[in-house]
Amino acid sequence: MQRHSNLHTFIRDARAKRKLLAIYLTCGYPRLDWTTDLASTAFEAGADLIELGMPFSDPLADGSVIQECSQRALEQGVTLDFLFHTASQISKPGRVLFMGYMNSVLAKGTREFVTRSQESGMSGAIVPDWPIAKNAETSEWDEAILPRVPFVAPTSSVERIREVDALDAPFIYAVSVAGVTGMRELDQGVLDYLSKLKAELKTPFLVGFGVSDADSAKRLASVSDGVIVGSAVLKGIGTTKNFEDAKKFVAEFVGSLRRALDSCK
Amino acid sequence: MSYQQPNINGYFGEFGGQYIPETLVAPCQELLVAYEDARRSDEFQNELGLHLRDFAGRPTPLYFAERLSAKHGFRVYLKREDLVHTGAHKLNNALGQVLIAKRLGKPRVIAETGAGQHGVATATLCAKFGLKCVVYMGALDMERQAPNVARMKFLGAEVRAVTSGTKTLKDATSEAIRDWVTNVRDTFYLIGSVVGPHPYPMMVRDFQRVIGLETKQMLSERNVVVNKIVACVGGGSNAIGIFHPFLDDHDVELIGVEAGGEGDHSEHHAAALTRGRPGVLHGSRSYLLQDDDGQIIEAHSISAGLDYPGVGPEHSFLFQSGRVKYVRISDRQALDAARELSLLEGIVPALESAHALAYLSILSEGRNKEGVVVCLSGRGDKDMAAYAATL
Repeated sequence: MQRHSNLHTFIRDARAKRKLLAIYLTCGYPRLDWTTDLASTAFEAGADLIELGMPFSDPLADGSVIQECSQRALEQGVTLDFLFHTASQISKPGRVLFMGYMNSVLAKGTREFVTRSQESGMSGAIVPDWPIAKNAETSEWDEAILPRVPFVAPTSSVERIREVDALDAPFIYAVSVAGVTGMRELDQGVLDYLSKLKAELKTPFLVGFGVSDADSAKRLASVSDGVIVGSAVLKGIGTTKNFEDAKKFVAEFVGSLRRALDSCK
Repeated sequence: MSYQQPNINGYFGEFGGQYIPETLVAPCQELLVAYEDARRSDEFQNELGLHLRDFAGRPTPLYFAERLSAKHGFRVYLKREDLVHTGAHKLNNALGQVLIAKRLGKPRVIAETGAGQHGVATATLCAKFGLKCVVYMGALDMERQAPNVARMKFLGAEVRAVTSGTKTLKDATSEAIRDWVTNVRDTFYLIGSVVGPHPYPMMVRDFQRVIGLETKQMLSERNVVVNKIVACVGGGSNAIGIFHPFLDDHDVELIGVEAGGEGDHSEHHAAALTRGRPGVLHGSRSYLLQDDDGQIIEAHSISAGLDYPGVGPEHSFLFQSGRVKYVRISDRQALDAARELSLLEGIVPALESAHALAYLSILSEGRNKEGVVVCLSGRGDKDMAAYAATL
């Protein structure tokens, strides 16, 4: 029903050529006017997708790094209108996604949210506290315009994984471990779980939560269609002293992730 | 038609549901199955009943407050939840959930707490049943409620200070959920109110219904008819507990009292229903204090137990349906009511319960021929510093 969205097309084509790299940026962190350029820099360095994060006052799926970035971004004055504006500045067809919490979507109203996202050039949405179960909000959401990216987690049952697979989403967000976003050591259990997912899923899937560097990106991508990196990028940006340094960091770090992924074909 | 909520997906009308990260979907389902199984089990119900009687001290009295009645000009009965072990209704729910945790074989229990009453109840029961206990509490609340922090630690619980966000109950709840997501295999999340994802609002309500069931039975045994039941609403567990068995008794008016904070002219309040609008926080859809962009606004109440920007989804449903009337009482009015009960009846109420008591003064301006039950949800020892400051 939604096979022909820009995002579906982009993922299908890109996946045939390489492992996918998605970079998460909290909108407006550390400065309101940095996000557009940092996103462009990430694209130039080899990112396939940008997940543009709407900061939320109560980000319960996030670890300490994204919590702090969210708080900082809210203090800078980030609003949904600002996020839509930012998205329109970095718009690349099929390559910018909204990421944020349910209450931000509801604040605009589901229909208006979908329309505004489309108008600003975003091609999908990732909402971690939005269950795949049918509810009033789901029926108001036009999947053909703005497909949602569903999740699977290590606690998901086989039936649940099949249910998610059957949604025919552009891709699935596979949470690497039970936990919140953030960097952590990888163990063999994670790789075994992902291998099982790979055998089960027809839909492409990207692995997020816990990708800290080129090495972990490579290991996770070897058993998936690619990786999503958020906290490690934001933490690095947070240590830079000025805009030029931040851009340089993003170019180098994303570049290193790109090379790592390209080496595991 | 009799009252039947929630539906099979955990919705009370359009409120409730499960707005949770995927990692928690399976544990919530596991909990639902375990709870439904326990609810039908005679063995579980017998064990719960035994501990409610011998450990919690139930049934609690329905006390006729003679001098308070004389003052207001109508009969006032107090449902004495302040006499439950640990000093508030919170133990009713914590007991039920700890028994579920045991059935699930989870050795570690986590909880969030605001005023510390739910934390103390959880720490108490973890001690009794030999479970490891971690309580999340906002750093600000730890300062405000230091005696309860000491109590939890003395009972063997680990109290973790939460320094993110507003450093209060909502942040402690978020942090407890993060712990749960991370340690979901061996950890049971013991939520303290009728909030959170399905099945928590339903399950916590069912464990608190004992308040209303006892009230109903005691009124009937004494041939007493009341026309109003009043309870305070933060998350709303004591209120749902006393209201629920009366929802089909349409002659009984049900009144939920929200924390009006500094008053209607001020933005400092915790009245999620009467001054908020629907949204999603901590796993369910309900009324919330939020700005136009959906960011959660800090709540304010003199009572730490009511200091929460959300409310249980069933209250949102009852508010929208009109079955329960919701009103606001300010910090000042609550303090006055606490003093009044102390002087007239020799009972020092919790600040939370004092909000419900304060509504009596508003009622006495009208005609109330029959009588009123107030849920006295907790005792006021923890609030002595605030009370002493008014002397």
